[in-house]
Amino acid sequence: MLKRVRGDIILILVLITASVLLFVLKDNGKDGKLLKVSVNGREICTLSLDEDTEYEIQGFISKNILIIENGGARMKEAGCPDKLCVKQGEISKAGESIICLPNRIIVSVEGGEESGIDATAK
Amino acid sequence: MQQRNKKIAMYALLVALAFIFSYVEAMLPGLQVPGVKLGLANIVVLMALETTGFAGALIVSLVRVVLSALIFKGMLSLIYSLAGAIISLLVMALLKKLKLFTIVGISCIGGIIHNMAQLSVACLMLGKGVIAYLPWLFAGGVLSGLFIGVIGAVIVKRVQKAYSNFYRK
Repeated sequence: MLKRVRGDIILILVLITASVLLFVLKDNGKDGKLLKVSVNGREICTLSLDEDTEYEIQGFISKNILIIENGGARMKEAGCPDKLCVKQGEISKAGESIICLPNRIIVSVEGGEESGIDATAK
Repeated sequence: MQQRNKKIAMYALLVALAFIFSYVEAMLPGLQVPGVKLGLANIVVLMALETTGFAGALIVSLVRVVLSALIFKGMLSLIYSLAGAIISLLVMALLKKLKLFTIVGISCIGGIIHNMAQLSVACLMLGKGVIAYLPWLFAGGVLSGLFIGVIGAVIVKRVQKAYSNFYRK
């Protein structure tokens, strides 16, 4: 029993360290330039984060309104019941994304120089 | 025959209990990050794993997931929930056999595996972008697994005796 408790303690320490590392690696991302919008796994369009704009996305069950302002993007309105994507706020760093599960919309920031896959994997 | 009836009654009891936890969880406000939640019903799954063994835990878990998808969450969530429930239960049962950790450690790993399985499903359905949520889901899995594991350990300690009495008579 004692051995297992020791196993637990080691395990939990390792897991907490791993979580912190994951966050640190993620936040290393630099400011992104492009915003990729996809619905239901298909890429719809790529927008520039430098131009302020308002964009309507037709999602799986309803429409969402995306706002790009001062180099960041946020969801202004969502037709889904939980509105998690609206609450999530603004994204601007490469690799960050806003996801609306009910509408199957993913909006993600791509790095300026980096290729798409590397930027997303961050 | 008597023993079998007792087993059915016990499974039914556990399913009902898990279902109540699902209900309570459905009433709690959602967190900022999609996918990160407490997973209260997993207390019962842990209990079932410790007391009735793998088969009982699997039955309780599957019935609960299907029921709560039908009533609270909608069918779309069923794929996510099923993937998380089945894979994490398999891993937890395996870890229990290895005897390396207590129920708390097993629950922590179960929490992570559950979230990673759901993330994989999301990845298949929505594309690679969801990987950005990995740190949240990982840390969320560790924390909720820890929380559920500690509660589960306390409950199992108290329930175990009553449980073995139930089957002996």
